[in-house]
Amino acid sequence: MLASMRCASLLSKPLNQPNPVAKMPDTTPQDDDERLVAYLDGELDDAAAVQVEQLLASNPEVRHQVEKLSRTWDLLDLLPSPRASQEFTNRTLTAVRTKAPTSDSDAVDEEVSTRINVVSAPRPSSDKWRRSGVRILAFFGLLFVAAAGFHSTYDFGARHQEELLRNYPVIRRLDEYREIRDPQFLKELHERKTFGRKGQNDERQDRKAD
Amino acid sequence: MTSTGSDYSIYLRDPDVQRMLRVKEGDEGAFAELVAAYQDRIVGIFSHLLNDPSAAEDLAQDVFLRVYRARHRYQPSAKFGTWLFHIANNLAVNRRVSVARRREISLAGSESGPLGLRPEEQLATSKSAFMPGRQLDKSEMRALIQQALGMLNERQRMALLLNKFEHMSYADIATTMDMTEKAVKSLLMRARENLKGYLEPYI
Repeated sequence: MLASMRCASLLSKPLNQPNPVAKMPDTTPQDDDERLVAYLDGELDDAAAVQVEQLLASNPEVRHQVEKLSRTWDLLDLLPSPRASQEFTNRTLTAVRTKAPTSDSDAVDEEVSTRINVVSAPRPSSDKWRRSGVRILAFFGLLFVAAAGFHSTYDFGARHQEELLRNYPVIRRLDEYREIRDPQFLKELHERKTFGRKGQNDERQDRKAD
Repeated sequence: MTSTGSDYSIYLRDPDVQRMLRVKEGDEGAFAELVAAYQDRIVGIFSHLLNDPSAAEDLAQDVFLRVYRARHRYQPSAKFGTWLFHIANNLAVNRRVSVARRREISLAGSESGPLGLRPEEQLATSKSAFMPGRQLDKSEMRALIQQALGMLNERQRMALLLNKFEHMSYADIATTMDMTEKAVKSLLMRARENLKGYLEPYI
C-alpha cells in the first residue's frame, strides 16, 4: 500500500476542516478527498491519476497525511480472519434440505430479494400462455358486452317503431281527438275499436255495410 | 445494475456461476462446493460486521438458504460472488432494521450502529489503557481497531470490509449494496477518514 501511495493536496486537513492547500482545479474539498481515496484504491482513470501524482509530488505535508491514511488502512490486516466452524457445511446442507421449499411458488418471495435488477430476464413460457389466455378472454368478454348493448338498443328501437305504427291511426288524427273533452266518449270509441288496425278494419266493414 | 439476455454470457466464464447453474439443474454436490468455497468469507464479513461469531454463522447460513431457494430462477446477472454478497448485504440490512425495532439504540453524537464491544471490553479500552503514544501490543491494537471499526455506521463498515477483504471494485460494491459508484466512492472516503481520525493518535 505504501508503494502505491501517491500524495495529493486533498487530505492535508481532516474531513470537516477547510483545506488551505491548493486544491485540484474545479473540485470541492470533498471531491478532492474522494479522489485521493479512489487513487489509493486504484479506481482513477489515467488522467486523474496523473493529476493526483503531480499534486502529491509537490506537497510533502499532504504526502504525510496520505501516508497516515494508508497506514490506518493497513492496520485492518491485524484483524483476525474468522472462519466458519467445522460443522458449518454439514449444518447448512441439513438446514437446506429441511427448510428449503420443494416448489417454485414458495421460492418466489425469496427470489425477489436476491435478484440484482434482472430486468429483462425471460419469463417461463407457461406465464406467457396464461397471459395470452387472459387477453383472449378479456377480448371476447368485451365483444359480448358490446353485442349485448347493441342488441338491447336495437330491440328498444324496434319495439318503439312497432308501437308508433300501432298507434298511427290515433296519431294521424290526434289534433281532432284532442278536441273531444269527454273521456266517456273516448272510451266508447276505444270499445268500438276505432283506434288501431282493428278500428280500420271496422271502418272498412262499415263502408261495406253502407 | 441491469442485465439483458445478451449480457449473461460474460458471466458464464465465472466457474462459480457455472456451479450455480448446475445447482439450478438439481446438482446438490455443486451447492455443497459453493458453500465450502464461500463459507469462510461470508462468516468473516458478518463476524466483522456484527462482532458476534454465533450470529455471524446464523446469518451466513441464511445466505446459503436463500441461494438454494432461488436456484430455480437463477439467471447470472453478475459474478457469483457479487450476487452472493448482495444477498448477504440484504440480510445484514434486514437484521439491522429488526434489531433497531426490538431495542432502543442510543445514537447520540454518532450515526454508528450498535458498538461492537461488550461493556466489559469497553472498560478495557479506557484512556488509561490506550494512551496515545504508548506502545500497544498486538492484542491491544487489534481491540482498538475493532473498536474503530465499530465506530463506523454499518454501511461504511460493509463497504470498507468488501473493499478491504473481498478486494471488490467500486463497481462491484455498488452492485452488492444497491448504490451508485459515486455513492460508494463517497461512502468509502468517509469510512477511511473516520478510521484515520480514530487511529491516528496510535500510529
